[in-house]
Amino acid sequence: MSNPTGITNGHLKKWQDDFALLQSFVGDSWGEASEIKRDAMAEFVRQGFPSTKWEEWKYTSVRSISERKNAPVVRLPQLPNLEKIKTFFRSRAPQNLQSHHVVLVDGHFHPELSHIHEDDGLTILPLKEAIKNGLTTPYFGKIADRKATPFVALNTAMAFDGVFIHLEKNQTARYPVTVFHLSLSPGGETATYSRKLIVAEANSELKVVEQWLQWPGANSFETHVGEIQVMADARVELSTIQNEDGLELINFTQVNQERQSRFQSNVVTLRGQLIRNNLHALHQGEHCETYMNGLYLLDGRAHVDNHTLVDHALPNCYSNELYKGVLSGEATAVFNGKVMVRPDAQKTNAFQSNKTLILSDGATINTKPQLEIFADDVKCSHGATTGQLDETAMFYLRSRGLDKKRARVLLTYAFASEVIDKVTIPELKDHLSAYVTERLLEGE
Amino acid sequence: MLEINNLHVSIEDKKILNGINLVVNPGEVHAIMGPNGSGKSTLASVLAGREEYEVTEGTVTFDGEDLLELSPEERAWAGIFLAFQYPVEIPGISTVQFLKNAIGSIREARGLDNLSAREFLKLMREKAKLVEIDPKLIQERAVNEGFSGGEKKRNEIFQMAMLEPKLALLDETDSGLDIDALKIVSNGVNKLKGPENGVIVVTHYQRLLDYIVPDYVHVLYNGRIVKSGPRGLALELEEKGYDWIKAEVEAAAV
Repeated sequence: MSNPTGITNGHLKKWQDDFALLQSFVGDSWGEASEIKRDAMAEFVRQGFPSTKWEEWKYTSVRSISERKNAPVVRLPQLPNLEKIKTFFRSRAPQNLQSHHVVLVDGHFHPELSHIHEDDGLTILPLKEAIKNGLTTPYFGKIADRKATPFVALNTAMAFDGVFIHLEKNQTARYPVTVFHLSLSPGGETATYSRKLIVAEANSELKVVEQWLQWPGANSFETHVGEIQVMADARVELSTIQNEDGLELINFTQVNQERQSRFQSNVVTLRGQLIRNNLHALHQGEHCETYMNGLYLLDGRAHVDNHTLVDHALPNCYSNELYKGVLSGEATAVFNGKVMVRPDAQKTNAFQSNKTLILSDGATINTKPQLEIFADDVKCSHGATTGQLDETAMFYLRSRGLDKKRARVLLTYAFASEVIDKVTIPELKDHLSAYVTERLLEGE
Repeated sequence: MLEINNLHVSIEDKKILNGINLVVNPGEVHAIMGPNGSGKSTLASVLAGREEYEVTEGTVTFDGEDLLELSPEERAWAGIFLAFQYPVEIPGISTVQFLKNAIGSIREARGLDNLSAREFLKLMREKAKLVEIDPKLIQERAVNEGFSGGEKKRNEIFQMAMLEPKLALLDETDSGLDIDALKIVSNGVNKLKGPENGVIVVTHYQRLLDYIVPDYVHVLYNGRIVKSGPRGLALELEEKGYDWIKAEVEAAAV
């Protein structure tokens, strides 16, 4: 990939300087990852920032980000007030959900805010500690391809903390792990780089929930890379909640699935200024199952771009993707769902559906299903629909006494609930239902 | 209770109703019959407030109030219920959730406290039994989704039973029902009938009227009521078909 952005080296220099700054602060702790990081920085410089002339970035412009002076947050920032923070969490975190709490503050694992229970076979550590102890060597920077997008390269170079979650074989985690990405961005414009590395060993079962949070006044550009290794017969479910007006996030998740493993993702975006979620799954063994569910419910000038890739590299695997959206105001959404069925991947079953309700004249969806099939004995289907609320259904509800507003909210909720219903953690499902209902009532 | 006066209705400039006159008093059951395309379903939809139709002339009052000024939901609050000819499928919500919303809205509009969860459940059990509807169908499944034709119609009558309307409009409720389902649905309607309630049954066939016995039968043809009479008229129509009515109307027009 050449660099047709027209972004000058002067702009890239700022990011190179940031890298040097980070190296001078924390370079020692990178250990074996140092080489990967230098290489990633070189890769980023080679690629540069994507422009909207790149097919993959056609509808999401990062120009404003590339020109900004956001400073990296080099150390764990001072917390405003512990009590205040706790109240803040209570108001936003899923209620009644017993889970391991991991709090990343501007990308740094925060030990006092995090709370980890006893759970057999489960290890949760600050990523930098795991790197230092050599626990991440087989995985770090090796699951997510830094050539995939410039931001994976940038993040791989710059991020030196985050969370490492490891579950031993044959273990079922007693509690889900909740990861909060809290942005404080002290002193204004900051850039946050964080990672999560999840390793579920053979025949283990793990559920992870992550939520992005912004402290009032926070102004941060965030990149996040998740690397997930799901070993043979293991089951991992990752639920992602994005519900902050000012959120500017480039988020990339790569999942590698070994034989007979199951991976499910639920990405729920209710607010956000500029969000890009890449979710890529690769089958490294036969009989894998991959479920990708997404809901985007956006208003105002929110923008969310979901790019998914299911890479059917081997035979007898199954994937099912359901992304649904409700757009109003001047919100824009992008869905690009790529399903790759490689020549070896016979007996693949791959399904994809993207449905969007457009409730205002100013809202836009750009949807692109992309099936590339190189095997002949496969079942693949995709469908994309865009439309308004069904008038006959509206009349049906109103004729039973629901006023226009209530009828609209109920129908929209019903539309969205198909995705929420896929979430397997009951407390989280309730929480998301409440969020969605609240949002729909607000929108009226 | 309901007074329709010289009602003219068009859809997209096509005239469908051409001067309907009809009075329904509390306690009465009226059957509207007529050949396909005569405007029967349009009449039911207009009374329920379907917005695609344009009323070009005439008045409709319900308990003295101008019905045509009311939105569909305001008509429901006033006590009108339409059992749809083609009940709508609503994926993602159960009939029970839907009815909680409906009853909540109606009671709120009438200034009544909402039913408690216990009261709602009790009412639901009672009414489900009345129309012999499988509780799973209304609690666990989405509204009408994947229901058979008969199940959909039964669900309409169940909803009617829950909402206890003053005036029920049954639009071709018999179509798609086998004889057993027809009996159950009719039985449901009959149990709801009372001295305070009116029912308008729109149907093409008289067989429903063996079970829901009307006080009056009206024949609609070309958007007009061309004949009214007691129950016997329905039997006559059953025997002779609609052609003699058409012939009569055309003869009168000459």
